[in-house]
Amino acid sequence: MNAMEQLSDAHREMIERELDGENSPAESTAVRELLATDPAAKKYYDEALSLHAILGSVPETDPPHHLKKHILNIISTPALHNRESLNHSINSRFTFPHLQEVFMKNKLVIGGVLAAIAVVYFAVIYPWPADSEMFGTIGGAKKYRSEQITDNDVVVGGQENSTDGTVADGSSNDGLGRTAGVFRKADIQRLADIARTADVQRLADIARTADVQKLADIARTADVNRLADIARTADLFRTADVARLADIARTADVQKLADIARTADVARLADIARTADVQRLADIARTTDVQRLADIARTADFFRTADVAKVADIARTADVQRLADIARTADVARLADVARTADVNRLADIARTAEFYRTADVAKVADIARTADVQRLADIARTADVQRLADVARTADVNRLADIARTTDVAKMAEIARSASEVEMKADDQ
Amino acid sequence: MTEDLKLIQRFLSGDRRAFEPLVDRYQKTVFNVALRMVNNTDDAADITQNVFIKASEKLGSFNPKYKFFSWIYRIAVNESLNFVEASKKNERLSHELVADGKSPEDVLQDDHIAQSVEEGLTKLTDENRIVIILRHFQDLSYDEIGFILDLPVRTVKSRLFSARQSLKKILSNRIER
Repeated sequence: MNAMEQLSDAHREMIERELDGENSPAESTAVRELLATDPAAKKYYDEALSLHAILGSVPETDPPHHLKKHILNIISTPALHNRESLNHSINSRFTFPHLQEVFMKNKLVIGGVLAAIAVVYFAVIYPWPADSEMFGTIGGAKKYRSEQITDNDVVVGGQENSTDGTVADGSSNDGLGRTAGVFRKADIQRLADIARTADVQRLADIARTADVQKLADIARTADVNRLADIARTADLFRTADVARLADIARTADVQKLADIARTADVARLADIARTADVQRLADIARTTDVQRLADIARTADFFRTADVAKVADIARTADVQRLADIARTADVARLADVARTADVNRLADIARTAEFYRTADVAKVADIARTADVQRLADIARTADVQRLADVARTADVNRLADIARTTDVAKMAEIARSASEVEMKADDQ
Repeated sequence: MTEDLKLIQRFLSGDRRAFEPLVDRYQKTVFNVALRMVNNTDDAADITQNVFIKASEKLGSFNPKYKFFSWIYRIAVNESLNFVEASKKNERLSHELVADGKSPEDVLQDDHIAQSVEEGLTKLTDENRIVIILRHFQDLSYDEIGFILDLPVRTVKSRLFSARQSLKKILSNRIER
């Protein structure tokens, strides 16, 4: 007789429910007692657990790269109103709380726009080997390239002097993957040199005409640390040609840059903004004439009401990914209130809670985040050992964190953050 | 109001771009449900595309008292089942992928557990396969599965039990190893 045949239906169901996480605490206790005293139950449980483990080991598959674009190209809008003009659209954004995401991310806008410029530049202008088929013909490109270094000057890790564009980094074989792969491996100093000598008008032209979706795709697949390194070390940022960058930003198609920033991975852009040279970014922002940025700064609730220095502190020290996620989903007024009243270091420390993330299985962590009790997670975040978590955060695996962030339920994380903040504020009140 | 609902409202008001975050959020989920059902990447991509097109067309009838993800799951499951039925996928799968000269034992000799599981899934009936997919690959609760499949929770549990027993037999060598 096998284990199942020796078990009552009730016991079998209890075990199945336990493995499915559907039992109450009392029922779970009963199952544990059953397993401790009934060998048949234990055998059935172990077999069922094996099946769960095997099924749990099957990874999710990423949809084809082009799928989203195809979907968005096909869908039609049940339009009740004609699309508003750009200006009206911009103005109207500030009157609807549900669009706070755009402006809660405004600390990212500068970084986003700059990163977009950098992406446009490095992905399109830079004479990547064998990527001409990807972007098509860009007028004047040949002339431009002739003034730059040649392909043979490009130091590409692991395949110096390669002329066929093949990148030995496991990237996909399509042009986009190849370009991202090259981008990941390219020599930083060389890119910086190119950036320093770039033709401003040309950059602006390309920004206006580039394929937004493709650039966004590149931004998503490129290596964050590499982008950050470039931003930190490139002459583009370090040696000041601020006026040149300002020219680019002024003459490029703002809407297109905004589209890039919008469709690119926000966390990635945020990481770039976080690790780039802050002072330099500030200089650029000061001299850049981007009406949109000014509008945002003037009208966003967050900036109007919050303590600027405090927000800056948070932005500087906190986990950008987390803040960005929260900003996307949270209530503006509440965030502003929190920003006004919360303990900055505490918020930043909570945001850095990473012990959990560093060692755990990504899918499991994401599952937990999706299904866990929000209040409990908030309590944990509130009471965790801050210093230890900070230490862990410094050594955490960036890719793992990014994986978790991608698969975790954003709304739930935001709820946790909200709940934690409420607990903090209640504690302060008392 | 949830973020999904806000996006839906914007989309229904004519803001086409509001649909993009919904695609970002759910395309992988929908794709994986379809992929487990049809075991073919291209077909799964087609189904995913159809799911979002239908969703965009029917958003006006979406009842906000339900969760959007449950609603789109329901569309995804229906589209997948319709596809399987329309294309006689079961026959093709059972003849081409599973009974292609390999015994279940042979299948389980494969190095990759994922491949064994995927092939094992193709041997289940559609109704058993979908509950395994929703429970184990999408991590949905009994209630959520019941909503999506329009089944009482009791039926969900019994179907899950039946599906697991079948799959356990298929994968028995590996489990007992």
